[in-house]
Amino acid sequence: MKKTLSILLALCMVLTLALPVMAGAEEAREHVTIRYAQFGNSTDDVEGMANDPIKKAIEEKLNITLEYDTGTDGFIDRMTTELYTGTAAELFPSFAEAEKIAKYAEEDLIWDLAAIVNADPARYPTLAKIMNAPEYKAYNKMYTGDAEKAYAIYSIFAFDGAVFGGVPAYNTAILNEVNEGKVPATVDEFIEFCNKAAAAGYVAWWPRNDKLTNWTYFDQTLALPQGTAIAAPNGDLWAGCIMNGTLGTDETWTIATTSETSKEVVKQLAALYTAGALDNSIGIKGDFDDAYADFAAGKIASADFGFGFAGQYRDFWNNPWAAANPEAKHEDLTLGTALTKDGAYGKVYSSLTWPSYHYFVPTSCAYPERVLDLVEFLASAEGQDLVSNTTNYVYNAETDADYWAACTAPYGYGDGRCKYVWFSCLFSGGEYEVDFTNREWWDAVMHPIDNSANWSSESDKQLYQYAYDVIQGFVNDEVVTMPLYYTMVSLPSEAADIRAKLAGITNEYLTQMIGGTMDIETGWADYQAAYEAAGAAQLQDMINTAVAAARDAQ
Amino acid sequence: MASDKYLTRKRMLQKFHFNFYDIFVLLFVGLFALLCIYPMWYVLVASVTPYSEFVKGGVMLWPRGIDFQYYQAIFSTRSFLNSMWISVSKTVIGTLLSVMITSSMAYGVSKTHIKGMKTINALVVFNLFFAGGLIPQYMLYKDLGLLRSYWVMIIPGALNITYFIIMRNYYSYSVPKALEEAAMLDGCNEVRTYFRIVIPISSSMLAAIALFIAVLHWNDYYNYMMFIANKPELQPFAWILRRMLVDQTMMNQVRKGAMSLTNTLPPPMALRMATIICAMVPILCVYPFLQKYFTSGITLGAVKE
Repeated sequence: MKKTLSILLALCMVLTLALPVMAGAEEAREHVTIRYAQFGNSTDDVEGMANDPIKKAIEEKLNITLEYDTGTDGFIDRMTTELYTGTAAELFPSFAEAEKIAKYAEEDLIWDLAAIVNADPARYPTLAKIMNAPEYKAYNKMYTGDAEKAYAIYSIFAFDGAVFGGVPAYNTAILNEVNEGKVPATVDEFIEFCNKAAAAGYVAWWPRNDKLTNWTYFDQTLALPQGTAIAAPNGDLWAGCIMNGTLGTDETWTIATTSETSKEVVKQLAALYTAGALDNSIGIKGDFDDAYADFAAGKIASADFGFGFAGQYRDFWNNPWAAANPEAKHEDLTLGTALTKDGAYGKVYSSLTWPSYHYFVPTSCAYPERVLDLVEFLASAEGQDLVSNTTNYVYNAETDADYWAACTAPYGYGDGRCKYVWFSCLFSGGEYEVDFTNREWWDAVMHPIDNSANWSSESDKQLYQYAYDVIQGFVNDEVVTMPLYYTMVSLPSEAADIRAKLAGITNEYLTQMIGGTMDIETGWADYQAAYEAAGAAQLQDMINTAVAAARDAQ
Repeated sequence: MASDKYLTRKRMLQKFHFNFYDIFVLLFVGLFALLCIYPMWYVLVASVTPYSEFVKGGVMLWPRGIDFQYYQAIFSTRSFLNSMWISVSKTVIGTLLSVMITSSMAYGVSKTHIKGMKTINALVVFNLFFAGGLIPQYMLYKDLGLLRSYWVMIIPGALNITYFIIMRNYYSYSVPKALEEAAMLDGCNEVRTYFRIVIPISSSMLAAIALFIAVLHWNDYYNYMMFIANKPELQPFAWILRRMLVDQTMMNQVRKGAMSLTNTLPPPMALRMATIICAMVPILCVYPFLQKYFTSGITLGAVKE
């Protein structure tokens, strides 16, 4: 007993001496200044930033001085110039471009972060877990060919729900007026609704086709349910394509843009255009604002409003609808459903994720280990809670709603999001919270945590829930989630040229055909010939070869 | 043949007090002027049209009601006022400095009888065709301590090579040598001759070039974007305008500011229109003061004796 007590006493003494040392470890490390750069924020409110409580908390915790840097236009060029001139921010981003990362690494412009982390894993427990994850190493290998060298913090874009698109929001009053309130559920019903709306003097549908880049929305609403695609094979790997075989086993992709079925869809669109059901400025509206303003003014009966998430429907109702209609009610708009043809939904393929920004520490930084202290803290549960769930942080002492204005205004979002805007993209391209403590890296970034419900108004909550419930009615039938290897498919560089040419050809032909200046029957053969001449067949081979290679390597 | 046409026009003029040629010219010039003015007029009208009217769209020839809320929103945003001050100051200082340095150097180099002037001229002109590129430029500014400084928007452009060539040619060929010689005989040295004789007789050219340089400075945001970037207190107005056009963060910031004034979220397009007007007006105000020099200035060198 006496011996046990002696041991306990000795243990207590050791702990008493050790704890302050451990607690003071951060303060004992040298004070450094870390400039952190992030795309698309604002540093306009100098005073607000000087009094930023979250910044202060991080600085005190880590014994550092933080400087924030941002930009949009020319931002990435500036980051690159600064990197090559030895003046780069201590932690700065670039878009995930494999060649660029490999070049930076070859020229010794950026630190191998894995080497620093693995040299002292006790100092960086979360980062050690992240950087030794097999998926992280797969990205390392993809970028530089060496799985053990991590030259960046990889930020991955993923949603906390399925992605869909091409489901318009309807102006309920017009829907009631021309369609007895019935939401079109099939392609035929939708075309009928469009014709009725046009006959009543409305533009029936704005499919978010400004600047001719979004033929995808025509696809998702009309073409995919009919088993084809009219968009050019540009953008997503599978854009403009139809899948054959079994996904994950032996799937192949066929470019369907110039197929006979697509011709029939183009005829449907041309007929809608002639009837006035499609906006006659389709493809030339310079800004979403123009179309949204027309929708808010009651001139457009239905509009595609975004990528199709519940949160985007909520935002669309708030602006432009409620912004232009002060007496707006939730029922003023009706969210549609994905259309079917012969009882079948179109298939919307989604990888649910893609590489977003990657953050580097330049070799001009003399204290990369101190920069990684910052990253380690931000990756920890405490750091994530601090920057991603600010409700928790300030609720400790302050529940006054005014705080949110004070908290968000300095950082420039100004749209009601009570999320700390700096570091929001460091790990999650979608600016969500990630739980590295309880999940493995890939699992954590694939399942980000959306805290927006914690701070939204009752109205916003209802709008979100309404949209979420509607979406759940069809999303499982419509959306096909792609296997992980689709994030690692790499096309040869010549593919980009072919894709750009095909996109140009599609823009040229479809606008003329839909606009009525080219006969579809006679022009279709020329369209097909132009595609072949531009290398559509070679591109299809490249896609299928690259997919097979990625699938085999999985 | 030509004289027949002339007589026909003369007879029409005597009979109707105009001829069809005049009508054609008037119509053409009027139409062209309309094409130039209408976009600006549309921007002005849209910037003062209330949102409820703005969303109705269509051609807007006259404001459908007057509402200055967008201007209020802009001027209640502190960064706008500050950026206006930065733009005005850098335009005034940059223009004065640039005209002074470019003009005095051009005058010196125009004296080709002085040894080395041709070499200096060649070195300056060489830079017009062969620049070092962004990275050497960045490193030079870094070594000169100009990075993230107000002066990076002024000093590097102080010698404008394009206008240097125009000025040098003007001093070489258009300033009468006899005048300079007379001044020398009266006891002026080169510096005094330059300030007392050459500058006064070059005022048309200098005014025109000053206007061009002022417009360059007013519209320039590249130097801020590349070499300053993270100092919001040094943003020029052209950069703010650029951000209003392409940067959603900036737009949100101004819209939120406007909401506190009017309790409604103004449309981004109307705010953009108001910002464009704010960017145009100050530099437009300079034109009337220099107009009398402008016409003679830009035709300099068109006729050689």
